[in-house]
Amino acid sequence: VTVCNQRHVDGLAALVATAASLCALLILGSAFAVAGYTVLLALSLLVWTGNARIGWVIVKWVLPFAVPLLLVHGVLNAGFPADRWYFGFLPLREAGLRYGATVSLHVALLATVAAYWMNTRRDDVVDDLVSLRLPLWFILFCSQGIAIGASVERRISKVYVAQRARGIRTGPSFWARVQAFPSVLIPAVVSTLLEAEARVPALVSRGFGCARLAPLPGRRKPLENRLWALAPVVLLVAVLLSQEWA
Amino acid sequence: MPKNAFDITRISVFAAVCIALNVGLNKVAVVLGLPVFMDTVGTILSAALVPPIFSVLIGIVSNLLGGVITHPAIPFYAGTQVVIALMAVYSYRKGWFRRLPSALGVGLAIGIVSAIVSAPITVVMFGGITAPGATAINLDRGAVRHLDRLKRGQGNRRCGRLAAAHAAARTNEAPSGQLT
Repeated sequence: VTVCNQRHVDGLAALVATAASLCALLILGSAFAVAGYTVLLALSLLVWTGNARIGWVIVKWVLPFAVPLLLVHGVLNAGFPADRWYFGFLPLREAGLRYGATVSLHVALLATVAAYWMNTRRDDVVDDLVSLRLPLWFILFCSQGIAIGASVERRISKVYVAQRARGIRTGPSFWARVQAFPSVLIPAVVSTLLEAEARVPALVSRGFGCARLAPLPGRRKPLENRLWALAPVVLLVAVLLSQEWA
Repeated sequence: MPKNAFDITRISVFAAVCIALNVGLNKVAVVLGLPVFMDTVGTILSAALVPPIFSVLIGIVSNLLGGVITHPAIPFYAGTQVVIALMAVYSYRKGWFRRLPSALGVGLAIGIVSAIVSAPITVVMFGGITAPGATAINLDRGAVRHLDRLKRGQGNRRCGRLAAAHAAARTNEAPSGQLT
């Protein structure tokens, strides 16, 4: 989703958005309030980053949940009473539809929070973790987990292509794909573990683990980034107040 | 807890690798087009590589990362990962991974227990819907129940079934509980 020229979200903003959204899930009673908060949160992200594709990604995440939820609970789930019948066999359950819509809104809110995290920069998040004075192992844990995760995916693609070049059948039948599964999985896992084995002495030889990490002095973020991090809380308060007045 | 710099680094790097395997091995299923998630390989492997508390942390952190990388619903299943980590650690300590039959048995037990732990989360948080495979099963079950309900007041003939279903629906039978 991220593009080169766009503004990135501050790690603190993503953290605040996560906390505020979890509070919103607990506090906000009506579906309209959750919808309002979700829309405001998503809009603030779109305005800040200027990347409209984020909206599409959120929709892409939510739709596979929302459509089955509405279909299952609004039509099929006999736990909700049928209010209307179409063609004599197709029921419409309004309570089920409301329930499906509420759960879909919760998923949309979670998708928006995930979109915040997707638009952070890894180095910024690591800096924030360092400035929070978290233990060294935890910082390494998170930062290396993300970094190696991306390299594992690249390695799997390479192993897959290499195994095909060696003549291993990887399809089109289901059984052929199942048979090819270990030939892709095992080299990928073993080579990742070997890389980790080599990474340890490399990090130790660079003095890793001998002292506390300190944030780099030249990487202080501008004030507007820090203030913008409070936006999700402001939005939540606004929605709560509007709910009270309504 | 690790004492010296080398131990800290070694455990942290192997824990990070296990997280990366949890997050990244999904790609194997994608390239081969197989209906598997592969998001607990790192957690189970970590039972042999790092101290138990790190195995639990690996499960939690990889689910949090999966929430950003794979799907925002994944972090809610962190409890399942914790249970898998604890079962893997216990099995490793008992030596059940040394032989294939016992390892298969552990795999089966982990599968059953994780399904038991995950099902309530799916029902409470997501109304019984998960993406993508289980949703199809839910839909199928829902459709079967709906058809059963239609059949209840039926005669023997097909057109009689629809008429009877219509009549049964109009009487609005007692609801039969929430779909899971």
